[in-house]
Amino acid sequence: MGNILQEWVSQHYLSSPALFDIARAYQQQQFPIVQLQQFLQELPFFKLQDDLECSTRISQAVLDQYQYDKVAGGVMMSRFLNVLHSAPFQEFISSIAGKPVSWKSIDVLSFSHGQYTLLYDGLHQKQGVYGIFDLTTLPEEAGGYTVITTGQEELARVVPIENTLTIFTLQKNARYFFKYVNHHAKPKRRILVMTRFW
Amino acid sequence: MDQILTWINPSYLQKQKELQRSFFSAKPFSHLVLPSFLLEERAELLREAVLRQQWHDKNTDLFQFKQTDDLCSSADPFLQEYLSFFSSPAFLSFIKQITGISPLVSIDASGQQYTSGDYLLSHDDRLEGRKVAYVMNLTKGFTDSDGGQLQFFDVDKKGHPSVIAKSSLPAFNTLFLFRVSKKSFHQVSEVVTNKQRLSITGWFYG
Repeated sequence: MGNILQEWVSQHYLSSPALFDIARAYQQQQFPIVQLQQFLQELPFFKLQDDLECSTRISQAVLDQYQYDKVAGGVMMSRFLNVLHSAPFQEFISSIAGKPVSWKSIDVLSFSHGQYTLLYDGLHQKQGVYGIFDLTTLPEEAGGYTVITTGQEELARVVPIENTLTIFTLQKNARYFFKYVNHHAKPKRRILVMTRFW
Repeated sequence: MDQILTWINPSYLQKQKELQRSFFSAKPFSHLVLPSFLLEERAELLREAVLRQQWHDKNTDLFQFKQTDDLCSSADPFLQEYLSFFSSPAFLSFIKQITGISPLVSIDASGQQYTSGDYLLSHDDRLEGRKVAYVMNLTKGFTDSDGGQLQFFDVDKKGHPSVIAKSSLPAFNTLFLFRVSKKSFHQVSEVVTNKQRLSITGWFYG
C-alpha cells in the first residue's frame, strides 16, 4: 500500500488481514468509528512532536461559536500532511470505509484551556469520512474531547490519546464539537490533525 | 403586596424609580444587581431548600453543571411558598416597574450548581417569550480566584460577543436581572476550585 505509508505507519496496520478486520469492525457498527492506537511508527511520531515545539499558532475566535488555534507546523508536519493527502492514504481510508473516497480538507488544530467549539445555529458541517490524528493526550476530565451527536443522542466521544488515528463517518443527521478545555488540562493542550474524505 | 413584604428587603420597594433608571442606563446592556435582596432568614432557608433537591448532571457543548428539575413542580413546601411569591402578580408588577418591561406573566426556575471544571459559555438567552433573565444567587464564600463569575460581554459590529465588559462575583442573596436581547451575551466563567456555586435561575416571560 505505497512506500510513503511504509515509512510512517506502524506495520501491523498495513497488513491485509489487519486491514480486513478493521474494515469489518468499522462497517458493521451502527455509527462507524474506529481508533487506531500507536498509528505511526515511533521515530516519525517523536519527530512530529518535536516539530510542534517550533510551530506557530493563530487564534480563531468568535466567542458564541468557537475559540481555538490553527497550527502552522514545521518541516515534519508538512511532510506528514503530504502523507495524509497522498493516494496511498486515500486508498487506506477507502479500504476501511468500504467505498472509494477522495481527500477533501485538512486542518491542524490546537485546543488549550478555555478553548472549544459550539453547535451554533447556522453551523454547517459536511458529511464525510473524517480522520482525527491526535498528537497529544488529555484525560477525559480535562475536556477537549470530540463529541459526535445527533442532538438527541451522543453517538461517540473521541478522547485524545497521542499517536492515535480515529476514523468516523459523519452522516447528515450528526454534528461534532470539541468540548471546552477546563483547568484540569493545564499546562497541556490537545493538538490534532483533522482530515475529511468523501 | 403583603406577600412581598414577607420576602424582600423593604428598601427595594421604596426606590423603584431609581432602580428603573439604573436598569436602563446599565452597560453593556440593561441589568440590575440587587444585593441583600431577600430577608436574610428567607435566603438561608431558600438555600437549604434548593440543596435538598435532586440534582442531575448536565453536559453539552455550551455548558457543564448540575441542575434540578423545574422547581415550579417541586413538592418542597418552602420552595412552593417562594415560587408563589416570585410568580405573584404583585412581584411581577414590581419587576415590570423596575425594568420597564411588560407584560410579564409567568416565570420558570431551576437550581444550578457549578463546581470544579463547570462552566456556561457565551450566549444571549434568546428564546420565544423570554423577556427578563434572573439569577438568585445563593453562593457563599467565592472570591476572584474561584472563578464562577457572571460575565457580560460587549458586542462587535457583527453582533458577536467581543470583550468582557462586566464581571460579577457570585454573592449570597444577590438577585441579578437583565433584559434578554440580541445584545445580552453572558457567561459563567469556569469554576476552578472545589467550592460550590449555587443559584436559582430562570426567566420572566411575557
